[in-house]
Amino acid sequence: MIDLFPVVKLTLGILITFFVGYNIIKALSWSNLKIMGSLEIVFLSFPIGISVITLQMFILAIFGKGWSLFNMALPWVFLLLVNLAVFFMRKRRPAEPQAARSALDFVEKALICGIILQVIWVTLKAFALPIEAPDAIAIYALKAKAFYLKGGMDHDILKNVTFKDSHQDYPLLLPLAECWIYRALGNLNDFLAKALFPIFFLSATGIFYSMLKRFIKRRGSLLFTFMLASVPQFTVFGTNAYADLPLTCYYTASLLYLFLWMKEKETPYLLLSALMSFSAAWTKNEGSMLLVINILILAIFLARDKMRFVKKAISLSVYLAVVIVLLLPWISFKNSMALESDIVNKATITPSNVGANLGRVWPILYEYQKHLFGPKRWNIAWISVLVVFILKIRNVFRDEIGYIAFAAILCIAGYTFIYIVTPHDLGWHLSTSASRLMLHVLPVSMFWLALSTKKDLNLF
Amino acid sequence: MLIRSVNYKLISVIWVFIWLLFSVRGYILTDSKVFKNSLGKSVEQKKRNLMKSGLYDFVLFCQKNIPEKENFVFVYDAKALDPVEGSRVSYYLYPRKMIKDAPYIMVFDMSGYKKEGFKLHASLSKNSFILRKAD
Repeated sequence: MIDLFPVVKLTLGILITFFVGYNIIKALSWSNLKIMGSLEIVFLSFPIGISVITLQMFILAIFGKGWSLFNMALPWVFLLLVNLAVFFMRKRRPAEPQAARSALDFVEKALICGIILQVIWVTLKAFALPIEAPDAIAIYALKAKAFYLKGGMDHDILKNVTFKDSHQDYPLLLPLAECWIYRALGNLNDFLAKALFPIFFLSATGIFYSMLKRFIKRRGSLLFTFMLASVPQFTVFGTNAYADLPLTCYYTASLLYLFLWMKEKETPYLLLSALMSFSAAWTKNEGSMLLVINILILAIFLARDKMRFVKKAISLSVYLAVVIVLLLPWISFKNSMALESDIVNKATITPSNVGANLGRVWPILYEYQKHLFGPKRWNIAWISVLVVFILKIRNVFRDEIGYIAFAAILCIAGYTFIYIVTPHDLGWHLSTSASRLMLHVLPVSMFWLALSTKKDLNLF
Repeated sequence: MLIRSVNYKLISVIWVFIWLLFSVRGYILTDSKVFKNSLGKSVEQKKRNLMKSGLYDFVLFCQKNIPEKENFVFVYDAKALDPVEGSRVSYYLYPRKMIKDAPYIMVFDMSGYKKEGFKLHASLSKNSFILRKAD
């Protein structure tokens, strides 16, 4: 058998992931293919592909089935056949004439170059070192290695008390994604596995741009996309093999597609949002909170919207059904293994604990302000958001964009609550995690910033 | 009135300029260090440089001298070693598992460490060696 070069194998593994994600998007959007751009579908394909492939690996593993080529390929070949059948059976409509695109001006070309250079820079930086950062090793890479060498779940790693630092209760998207790359490579290569992170960086940036371009002019969209891509903390997490950038990518997509659904009521947007919300919860425990916030935002919107009650009930039910069905295997497994969070559990979420720790609010707020005014990590992203928030305070919650601001505020409030109940030393907990939590809401906050300032800034 | 009279175009240009300034600062001060420490180095050299001096070579030594099916205890000077190094040792030595009461004890950079019922199994240096439970 010919031994393909590692990079070729890696490329093949990534292309398969794209292909799976692409087929899912096609299946979700057969009702109206015109609602998403080609590039947008490409940006969405990888995150969706990796999410469903890792879920498939997990389900096969808990049922004691191996990750053979047949087991892995079966559902996706079936989906491909369904998509092909729908494609050939559909009545072809004559292509609608598309509006001619204006040529890129100098500023737009410069911004596109800047974004591309940023992606290249992140890729080079990711491959400069193997997986080495503390949590990347302890929480994700160790499990990935165990799963790869075992060819399935290593229950001992997930249960043995000596591995408690690996957060055994954490969802398994990232360890299984790294394991997926190892299987594509045919060996354990913790340099090439880091390819996942620049791709998530590219996807998050691309999804952000695709969404923004629907609401503001191309130049403004490119400017804000370049700004997001150049925030130091955003680039660092595109290289360090932590789960926070994948989570940021999923959460950004979940909230922005929900926002888009509120505006246009196209069902595929709601389904995409639900799929991305599930993926966020499947990536990190924090994702479960973000999922609940999305459901809350959807419920508030439905309560205020004028659409028919039946349609409201169906929309909420579909959203809940998608996330519950997809999360059920992980929740069942977690319960059967008695895996519990060391931070959010029955012992910490008690009225007496919350009451006793309310004084922690001040040091927590102090930590947040260090980030708000910390250009070393955040450039002037948070300062800009804060200034515009204060200037526009009267109109923040006036229309649909207010839901984005409200969701971001709920996220920060949720994380504040976690710090209030944490059993760990607060100073240590804040210093090791606050910057990551703020990363999760950075793109949606910048999206809000872009839409809130589009009428004011003459650049757009 | 003050806000309405502001020249937004000027604000935009200044805003973008400050943004670029901080971005360039990040490339020079932070990212350049990463590349400086990794360019032209082999995979093994990079892994060696990331860990405390001598620890990566000790891990390779343990990989050779502890069978994959066995488990180990890692003994080190807690004041001299960052806790993350324990995770790295655990990662590099898997499928050997770091557990309590294991038949092998990896002693790193500690002189004169002894434990009853264990004998010297292999030695990398005077202070870094492997003990094995006596039969």
